Amino acid sequence: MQRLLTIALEAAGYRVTAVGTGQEGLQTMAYHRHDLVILDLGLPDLSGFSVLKQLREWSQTPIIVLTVQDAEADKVEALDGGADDYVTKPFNTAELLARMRASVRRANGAQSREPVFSLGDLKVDLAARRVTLKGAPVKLTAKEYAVLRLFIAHAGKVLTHRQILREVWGAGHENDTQYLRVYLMRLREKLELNPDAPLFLTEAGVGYRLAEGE
Amino acid sequence: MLFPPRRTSPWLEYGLALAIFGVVSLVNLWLERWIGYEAIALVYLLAVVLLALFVGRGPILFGTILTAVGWSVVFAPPRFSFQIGSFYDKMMFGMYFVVALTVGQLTAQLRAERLAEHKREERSRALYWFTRELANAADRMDILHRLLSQVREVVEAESAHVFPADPPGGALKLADAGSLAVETQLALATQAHQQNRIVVDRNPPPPNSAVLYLPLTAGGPSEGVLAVRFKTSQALDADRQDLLENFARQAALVLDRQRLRDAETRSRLLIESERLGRTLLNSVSHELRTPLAAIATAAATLRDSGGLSPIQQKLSSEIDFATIRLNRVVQSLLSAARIQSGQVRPHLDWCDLSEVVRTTLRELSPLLARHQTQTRLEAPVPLIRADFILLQQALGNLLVNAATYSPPGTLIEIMARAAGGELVLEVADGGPGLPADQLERVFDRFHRPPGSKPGGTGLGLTIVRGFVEAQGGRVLAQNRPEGGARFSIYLPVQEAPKISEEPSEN
Repeated sequence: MQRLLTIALEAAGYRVTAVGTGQEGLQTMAYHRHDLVILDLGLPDLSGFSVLKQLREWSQTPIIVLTVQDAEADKVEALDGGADDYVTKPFNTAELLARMRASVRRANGAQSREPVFSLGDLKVDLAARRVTLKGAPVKLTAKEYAVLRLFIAHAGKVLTHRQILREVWGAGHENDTQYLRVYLMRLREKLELNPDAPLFLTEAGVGYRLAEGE
Repeated sequence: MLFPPRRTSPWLEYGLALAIFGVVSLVNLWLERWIGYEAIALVYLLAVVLLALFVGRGPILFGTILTAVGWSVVFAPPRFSFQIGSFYDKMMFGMYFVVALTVGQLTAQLRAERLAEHKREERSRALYWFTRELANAADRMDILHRLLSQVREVVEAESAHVFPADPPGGALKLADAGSLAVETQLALATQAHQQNRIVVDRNPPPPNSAVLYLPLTAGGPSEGVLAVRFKTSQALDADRQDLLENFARQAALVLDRQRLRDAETRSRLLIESERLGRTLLNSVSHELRTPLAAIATAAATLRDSGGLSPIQQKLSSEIDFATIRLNRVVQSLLSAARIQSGQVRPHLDWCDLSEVVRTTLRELSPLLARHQTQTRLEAPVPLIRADFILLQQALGNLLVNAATYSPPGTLIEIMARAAGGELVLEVADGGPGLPADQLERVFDRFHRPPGSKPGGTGLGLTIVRGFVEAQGGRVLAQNRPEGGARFSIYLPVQEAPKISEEPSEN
């Protein structure tokens, strides 16, 4: 897997430092600045979660974790523990590259400096708090807008159920998934005109992701 | 001796008193010339005290009277008459009587108490040995065997038999293919068992014997009945019955403890084997998936990389497709194994059914490419409490089946409606349907419909049922009247907590 990724990522133009154990990874990160970390949760020595925790103690570098199928609890735990995104083995590299881009973009704060977000027919003027679809204005409630704005701030990156609920409804509502479902349903009704071009992608058992513009 | 032979008959004791009186009187007649008639009274007194060591109270009293009267008649002046001359002698007579009586009675009482004490000691010891014997028993059968051997030995019964009840309080069973005698005992034994009290049968066949039925209980439900047969009805006395009651109570305690021990062992074994199964499953899962993931990722990357000749492109596509299929098969096997060993832990949360359907359709769109799909969700579709992923996989399997077993171009319908407190999610196809006699059996593991193409695992529907049932639902297979098969997933509907609404703005 290591070799595979190194080849693929270098081919995509990245410079890669590949290590085989968590300990080495932490050391490498301590000595050299990197733009992104890809962390395999199934490491031989330290558990992936332990590496994640330690790294997050002193680094804000975006981290993408590699997980296996049927390990939704692991994904949620990793995301809640500070990982920015995840990719499930087996994956295709295009997917990984897209998520890497989204994470780096977010880390660089590029998104938050953009006053207007556009995705397909949707345009959101963040400064003026105006949402239009194909030019026609769309009415959103305060919470609906808050959810949309959260997604835009993390465009392309996955957000866990808990993260969304916490950010929009507050820490006391972290487990009120019913709100999330209902609001997603409403947002989809209002903003997704074309069922084949979804805006809000469901990451089963984990959370949601706003589709990427490009 | 625990059960001494029956005490010597009263006649013998009275006879003994009389005999002693006679002998001592003769001796006294001879002694008189040396010690005088007052001292003779003391000799008589001595005789009465010695007598008291051997006989009961009645005969002692008899002996006392005999010696007193004998002394007064034979030795006290005037001799050979019932009169007593001097006042001094009358007084002596009276005091002799009192003293002899008192001493005699006290001695007899002492003796009786000592005998009783001895008996108590013997019984305690018997009970102690009995308990030790039972405590050393290895298992339930051993307990019962030892119980019987102890009973036969200690109580000197003719035969003893146990009717165990398993579970306690349940029906009695014959421990071995009994003789006719044993079977006839069953009725009375059942009576003792159900009423939890001792039943005594003094008229069983053969006549003049007695059978005692003791329920084995220490206050709780009876663990069975101990039937003890005595050769003679007299042999079944209060002492023996009492001892047997103690035995029965003790045996019940030991049986109860054994049962608990057995249950604990079973439970421990179960936990161990579950843990082993889980570990095995996890390691197999990992070992299969890791190389598979490597192959799949490499194949996907290869396919997406540029610069391949058309043949290479085709080959890499083949690898990719085959890997996806292999992955699905491994996934199915592991899911089925998890269901089988009860390791499916559904993570229930509120789900939007339309979302589940949409996500599943999107994920399977390549497999459903050659069919038309139509989704009809009857509004309002309530939020259901389900495991998103399990439900998605169940629905996915149904869709894949529909696509596999119906001709290309036909319609696959997905419908959802609320019906009687349940949510019904259905997948219907336009294929040939299912054989009418196999509507239940299609969900069995490795079931393949007759004449189906090779290449399926036969586990798809098993997984559907396993995942649906893990969420508290059920799944049904039917044939549609207009042709084709219809699979219905029923899920319980619960009241979703209210969402506080907010005003519209913006």
